Amino acid sequence: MTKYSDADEKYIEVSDLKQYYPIRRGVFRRAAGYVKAVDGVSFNIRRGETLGLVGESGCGKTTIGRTILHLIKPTSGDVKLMGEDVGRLARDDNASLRRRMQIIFQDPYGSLNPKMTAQDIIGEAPRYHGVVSRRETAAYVCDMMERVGLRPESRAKYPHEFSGGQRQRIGIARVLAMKPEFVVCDEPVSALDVSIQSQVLNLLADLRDEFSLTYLFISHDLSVVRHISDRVAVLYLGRLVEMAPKENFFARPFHPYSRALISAIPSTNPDAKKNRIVLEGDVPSPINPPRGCIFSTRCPQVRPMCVEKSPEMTDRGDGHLAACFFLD
Amino acid sequence: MFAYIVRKMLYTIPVVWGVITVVFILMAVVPGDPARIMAGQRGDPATIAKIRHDLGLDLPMMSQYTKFLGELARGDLGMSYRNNEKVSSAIATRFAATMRLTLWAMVIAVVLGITTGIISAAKQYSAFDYAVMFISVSGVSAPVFWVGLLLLLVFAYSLGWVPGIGVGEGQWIYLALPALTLGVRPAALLARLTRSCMLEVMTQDYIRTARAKGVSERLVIIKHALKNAMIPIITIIGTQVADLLSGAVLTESIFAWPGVGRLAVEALRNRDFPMIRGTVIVLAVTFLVANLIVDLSYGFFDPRIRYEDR
Repeated sequence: MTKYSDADEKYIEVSDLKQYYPIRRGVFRRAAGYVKAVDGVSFNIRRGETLGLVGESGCGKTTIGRTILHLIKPTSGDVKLMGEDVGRLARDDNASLRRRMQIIFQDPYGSLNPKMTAQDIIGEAPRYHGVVSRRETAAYVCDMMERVGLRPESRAKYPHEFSGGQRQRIGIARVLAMKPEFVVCDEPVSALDVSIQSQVLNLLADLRDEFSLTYLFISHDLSVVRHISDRVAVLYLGRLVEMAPKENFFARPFHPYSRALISAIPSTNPDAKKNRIVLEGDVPSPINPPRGCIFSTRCPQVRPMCVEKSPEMTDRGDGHLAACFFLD
Repeated sequence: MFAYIVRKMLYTIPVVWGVITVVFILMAVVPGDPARIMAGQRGDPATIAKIRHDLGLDLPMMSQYTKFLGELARGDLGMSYRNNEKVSSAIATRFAATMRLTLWAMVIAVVLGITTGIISAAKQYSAFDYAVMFISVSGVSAPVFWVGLLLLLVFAYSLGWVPGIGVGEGQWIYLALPALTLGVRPAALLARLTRSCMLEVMTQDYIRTARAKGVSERLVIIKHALKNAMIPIITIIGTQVADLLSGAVLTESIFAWPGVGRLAVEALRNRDFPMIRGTVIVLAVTFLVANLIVDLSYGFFDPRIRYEDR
C-alpha cells in the first residue's frame, strides 16, 4: 500500500464513532437504556478509493454514513476530513463542508421534494453555494442531467413524473452538481429493479473515474459491493468485524460472519457445489448486545473465551483486519 | 383551467337550490307570522288578512315556492316585508362591510396562525411552543360571542384604546376589535394545524436531502417544508370561511357592524322571509366561491393536482 501518501491514506478518518439513541420511559422520560446503533467504529478511507460497507439491515450502516456527513451528531468519537474535524466544519463552515461531501440517499421516492422540478432539485444547492451563477444555472443543470443519462428536456418535470431509476439519477445529478470530493452512497441501488441496478452502478463507477471521487458505498448486497468497491468493511451490530481489500476479502474471508455472508451469495453456476453456512438465530438486540464477542451468540465456531472477552480488530497482513480470536 | 372553473360554478347551482329549499321549508314550519308582526300589537284580523294577501302568504305553499323560484331565476330576490326595500339592494349595501370584516379576520388568522405555527414547529418543545399551544387551545375553545364581549370590556371600556361599537366613519380603528374577535378562533386552529403539519413534513426524507445540500435552516423550513405542509392548511382555511361567515353573524351583532350577518339576524327576528332567503343565498354563494378559490389554489401548492377537463 505504498502508493498512498499519509494524507491521502487518511482522507477520511473515523475514530471510535459511537451513536447511542436513548430509550425514554415513564412520566419524566428518563433514559431507560440506549440503542447502540454504532458502537466504537474506526476506519480510514483513502483518497480516490471506494470503501464498501456491508451488513444486515439495522446494523448501523446508514447511521455511520449520515454521521460522517454530520447530518446526525455522533454521541462520541469523531470524523475528520483531511485532518479537519467534520463536526467543527459543520458548525463553522457548513457551506464548504456540504460542497466537499455529499450523500446519495437510498430511497429515490421520498428523498426528492415532490413540489420541486428536477431543475430546481439539481440546481438549488450549486446556485445556493455559488458553484454556478444564476444565469448559468439552467445550462449547468442540463449538463448534469446529460451526464447522468437524463434528457434535459424533462428538467421542468416533477419527481412523480419520473421512474425510480430516473429519480435516482436525479439524486446523483443533484450530488454531482455540487462538484464534491467525497460521496456517501447509502444503498443507492437497493430500491431499484435489478435491471436498473447495474446501469446505476456503472454510472456511479464512471462518474467516480471521471471526477476522481471518493466513495463510501453502503449496501447489504455483497455482489453490488464486490462490483464497485476497492475495499470492503463488514459491520455487525454496530461494530466492524472485518475490513480488507476486495480481492483478499472475497478470496479469504477471516471472520466467521463474513464467511457466512459470502457463502450466501447466489452463484450463477448451477453446478457449483454449495457450502452454504446458515447462521442460527437472529441478530441480538442493539439495546443489550452480547457480552464478549458480539457475534458469539450465532458463531458456528464459538469457544468459551468468546463469551468472556471482546476481540479487537487486528491486522493479518496486507491491510486485512478482522475481529476474531481464532483466525486461521 | 377555464372549463374547470365554469364546471365548478355550475355545480354550485344545485347546492344553492338545496340551501334555499331548506330555508324555505324552515320558514314555513317555524312559528311566527310576518303579517301579524307587521300589523303590530293592535292589528285587527282584517288588516292581517289584507297584509297576508298582499304578500302572497295566503297562497298554497307550493305556489309560493314556485313563485319564489321563478323570481329568483330572473335574479329577483323580492322586496323586504319590513320597509319595502329591495332585498338585493339592502344586501348590496351591506355586503362590503361583511367582506371587509371577514377578510381582515382571515388575514389576522392566516398571518398570526401560520407564523406562530411555523415557529412552534421549528422550535418544538421550547417555551414559545408551549405558550402557543396553550394559548391556541384557549382560542379554539372560546366561543365568538364571549371573546367579543371580553375584548369590548377590556380594550374599549376599561382601557379605552379603541372605540366600542359601530363603524364610525369607516376608520380602520373600528375594525380592530371585530376583526380580532372573528380571527381568534381560526388563528388558533391554524397555529395548531400548521405546527403539526410542519412537524410531520420535517421528518420526511426530502427535508434531510435539503439539509444534506447545505441550504440554510431557514430555507429548509420556508421553501422545502412549508410548501409541502400547505395543502392541509389551505383546506382548513377553506372550511374556516364557513366558520367566519357564521361567526360574522354573531360578531356583527355584538359590534353593531352593518353587515349581511346582522341583516340576517334582524330579518329572522321580523320573520322577513325574502330578506332571510336573500342573506342565506348570498352567504351560501360566498362560501362556495371561497371553496372554489381554495380548490384552485391546490394546483399552486401541489403540482400533481392538475385541472384537466375530464
